[in-house]
Amino acid sequence: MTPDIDAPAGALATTLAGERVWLLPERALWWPAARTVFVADVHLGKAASFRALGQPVPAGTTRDNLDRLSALVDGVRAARLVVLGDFLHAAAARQAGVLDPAHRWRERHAGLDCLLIRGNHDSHAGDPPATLRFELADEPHRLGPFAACHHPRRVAQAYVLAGHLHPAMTLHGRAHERQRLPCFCEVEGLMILPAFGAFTGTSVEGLPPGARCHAVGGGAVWADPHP
Amino acid sequence: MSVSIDAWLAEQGWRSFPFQRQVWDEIARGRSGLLHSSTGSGKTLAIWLGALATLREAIGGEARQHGGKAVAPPLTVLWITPMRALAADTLRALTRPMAAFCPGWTIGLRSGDTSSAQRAAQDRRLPTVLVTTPESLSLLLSRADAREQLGQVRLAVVDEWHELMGNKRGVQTQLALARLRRFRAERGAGSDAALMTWGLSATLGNLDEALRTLLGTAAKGAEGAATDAVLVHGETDKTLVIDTLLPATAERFAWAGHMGLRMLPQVVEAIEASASCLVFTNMRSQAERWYRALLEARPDWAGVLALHHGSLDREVREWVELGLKEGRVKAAVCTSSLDLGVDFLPVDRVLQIGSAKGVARLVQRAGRSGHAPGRPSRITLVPTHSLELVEAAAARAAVRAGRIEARHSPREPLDVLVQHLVTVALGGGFEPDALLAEVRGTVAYEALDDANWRWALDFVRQGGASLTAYPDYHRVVPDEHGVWRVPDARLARRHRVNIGTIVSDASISVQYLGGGKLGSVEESFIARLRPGDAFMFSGRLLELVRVEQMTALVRRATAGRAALPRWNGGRMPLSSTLADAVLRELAEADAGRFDSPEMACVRPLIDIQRRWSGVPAPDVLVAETLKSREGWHLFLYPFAGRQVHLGLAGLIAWRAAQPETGTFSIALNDYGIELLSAKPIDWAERLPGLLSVPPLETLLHEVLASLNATELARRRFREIARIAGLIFQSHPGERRSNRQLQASATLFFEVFQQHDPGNLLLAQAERELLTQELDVRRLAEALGRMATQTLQVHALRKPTPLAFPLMVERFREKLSNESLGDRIARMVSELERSAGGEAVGTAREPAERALAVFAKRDSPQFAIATVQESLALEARGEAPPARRRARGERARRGR
Repeated sequence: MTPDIDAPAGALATTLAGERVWLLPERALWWPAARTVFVADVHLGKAASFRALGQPVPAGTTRDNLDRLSALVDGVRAARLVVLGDFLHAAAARQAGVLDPAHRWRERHAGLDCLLIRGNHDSHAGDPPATLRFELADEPHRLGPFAACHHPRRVAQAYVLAGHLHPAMTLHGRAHERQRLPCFCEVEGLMILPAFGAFTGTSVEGLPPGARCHAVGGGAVWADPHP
Repeated sequence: MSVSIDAWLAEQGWRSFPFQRQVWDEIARGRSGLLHSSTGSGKTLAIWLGALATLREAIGGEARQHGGKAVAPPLTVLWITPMRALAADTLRALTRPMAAFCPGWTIGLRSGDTSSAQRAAQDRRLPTVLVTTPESLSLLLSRADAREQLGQVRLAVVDEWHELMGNKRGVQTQLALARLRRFRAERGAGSDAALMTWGLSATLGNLDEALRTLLGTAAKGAEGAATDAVLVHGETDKTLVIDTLLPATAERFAWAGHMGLRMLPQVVEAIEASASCLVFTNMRSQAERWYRALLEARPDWAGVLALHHGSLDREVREWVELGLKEGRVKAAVCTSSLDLGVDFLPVDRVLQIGSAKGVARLVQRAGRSGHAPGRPSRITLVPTHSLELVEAAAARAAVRAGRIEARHSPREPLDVLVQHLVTVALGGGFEPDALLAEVRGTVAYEALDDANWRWALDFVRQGGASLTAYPDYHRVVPDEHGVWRVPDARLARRHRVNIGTIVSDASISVQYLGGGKLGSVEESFIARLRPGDAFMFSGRLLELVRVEQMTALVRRATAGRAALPRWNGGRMPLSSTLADAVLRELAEADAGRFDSPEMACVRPLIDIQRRWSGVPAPDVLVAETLKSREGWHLFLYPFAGRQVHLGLAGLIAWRAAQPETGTFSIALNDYGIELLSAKPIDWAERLPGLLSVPPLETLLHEVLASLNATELARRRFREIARIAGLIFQSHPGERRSNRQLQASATLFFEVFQQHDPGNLLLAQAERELLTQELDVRRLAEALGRMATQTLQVHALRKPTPLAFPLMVERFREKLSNESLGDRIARMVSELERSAGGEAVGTAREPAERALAVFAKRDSPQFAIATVQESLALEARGEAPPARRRARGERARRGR
């Protein structure tokens, strides 16, 4: 894992299944050879679902999510976006307050190929409207040496990219210092991406044993310091 | 046929006390009041016999004929009690006199424990007398027919008012009482039939304020000449004995550690010598541990030794309470769960393991013993470490001098107000102007300004002040007549389930495979266990089999390593009254006077403190500096109590992080604070500058700035989010529903900060910190006092008796103004260095070395800790070192 000259700022380079990829501090995985960027767990419309059910969450998270997606796609000049599940949070997210900005976002990136691997939230929320022009697939979905999934799992003869867990880790330092950070979680044949969406939360529980955790914070991805 | 009070008492073979006769007279005149005493009984009868005699005149004691059927009078008396467990006992205590005086009345119980069948019966017709809790009373207020049902209440009695008035449950009670008064007034009842309110309370340092808080701002105070309301002193002659179990050899007694099992032999002896006793601990995990240790020391006590704490199943608790009443239980190890309640006549002694934390609490717990006539109340303090010996001597001196803490109502908690608005909107709706007047009639909201009121209304109506911030969101909406109501039945249901101000972590019920229920533990504890792991609960060794639907299924474990659950209850701070008393005792000791047995016992330790450093005194501020492998330590001993120390430590750390950035770990206890820096800092040189006393306004500014650099506001927000109805509590045994609605308070905090920074619930979190937790005024006083003291700075070679407990403290605050990137870079490089073989020290190591010196392996305390090797999760250094290392490694693996 050595830095390249044309490295995206703060990104961590690694080689998975023989392919050079970048772990981006934007909580995304960039595969330059295929001009493809992967994100997991966007949970678009989560705040709107809360409001619809009577919980006061201020508006602004949808725009925040979409603005960050735009910056991500523009920053690496991606040709394809793969969402590893949970694009929409719930059926209640299928409303104008969420879908209108989503359509405007799609127009801005009209030439971008978008692929959604259906996750557990998507199966409740339903597929995004056809007008958003997302290609849809069930896991595992093969892309070169990779298998795009939502749930972390094993797929024979493929390296799995997954989400679902919203992984996080706690860093410890001298003077009792601790900091909880979202992370990329890597085990043999599997990379679990941190959740992309705002207002989604993280979990340190349930991560695979022996995983290497690369923390995301302060504008960078940090290689797991443990041997 | 109508029996008189005197005749009834004579029939029972009892006689009345003067204070009881005074209360009867006051009630007969329609007055309200507060009846208080520190020990003794007869308070319930004082109110109840007076109420029965008076209300019998007003509404009749017989059933009424209604359509050929005998119908009891409508709901007339509400008896509010802070604990569910107390409600059942209260019901029994009220029933017998009622049958004699008012045979036609009915009485019932309504609390979280009431069955749905009983609830349905009550919904058809409420009993004449209802015993209930603040939460269940709020639920009644949310009924659509609340005005009609509760408008006939003539008398509201609040039991154990001292327990309620200082917290948000008390605010909830104030609001409910204001509502009842208003219902009464709306019925056009004359002043002679206005609501009477009576409180029962232990002795407090501010009884006039307690009375005013109970009755609202409209009541004429007890101090004036025109007395509507009265304070009645219910003292009976009662001797109070406070003594201490002394460790055999003081010099080898632990400097820190809170389980206190070292004193096991002395405690066994004390239990043996008494007929029946209560053993109070400050934490549930400590109660579990002591129960096991006592049983292991005396297996023959199986069956007569009991365990009682709030997480045990109700049936288990009731069995213990009955055993105590009937004298079958030799000793019950318990927590504050037995602070209140009916009297256990056979109990002749109370043991208090560890600090009672306050003079009032000590006196209250003492009063749980010696109820038989002519017997003294006796409380025996069992120190868990050496400094508690000083506390014991100080507590006795404070009781003797009559210095007892005051309690104050929280001021304007908007979360409780928001909940109340929805409750009232459900209970028949409200018109804002009228409700504002009613709310301002409570002490908690007497200074509520229009802007905050407006915000609370906006919040329940549209989420916030701006219409656009919360699209599609509505909770409460005015109808065409301007009456605010809740239109959505689903929201109404959810609100009713979540009424209350007690915030606990998600808990999971513990049940045998065969079905027997044991109680509940926090979900986060069970989440750390794997099937097959053993843990200690309900005094038993259990093995986790599996978890399904918020229930942990267990079976008996044979043996092995057991984890001990930790319940995240708040830690009780030492009152400043007691902290001051401790400082006075230390000053006496420094002058060479060791008058009490406790101080004589602790003398070797004070000598060490003096030799290695200095002894704090009212006019001497002691500071100590130490460089360890963990970093650069500063210890400072202002003796201002935890709350003030929290603000003080944050302030000093904030100042130390200027002009260069820094990251500090903060530990504090009731005596002092520790600041630990990962980067080099010359504490001795910086300290005088860090202790300056600015004008109050500048200080407030600095404290706010220091707050923003800590996690405190974020943590405080958790409780506020729950009470204001942002997050839902899951209940034991309940299926996880509303999955799409699961979001943590932290997420809400962040999303508000980012997208609605003007949200007043955020402001409330900050204000509660400033007023309740930090108390800036007292912080300024403490700084002022420190400025008059002589500052002594000692460079240490090893931690002193005062420094050691701080050094091993595991609950820590963090203050940092370094950028996240810088901090991560530093931690990552430290971890890489340690992985490369260059050891990075942990704070545990010096602490362990010190522990090994002062608590030898062969001491009983240590022996038990090793036998019962456990995940332990205690706050301070009693977990065996091997276990601790394992924990450290797990943590380092980043999980």
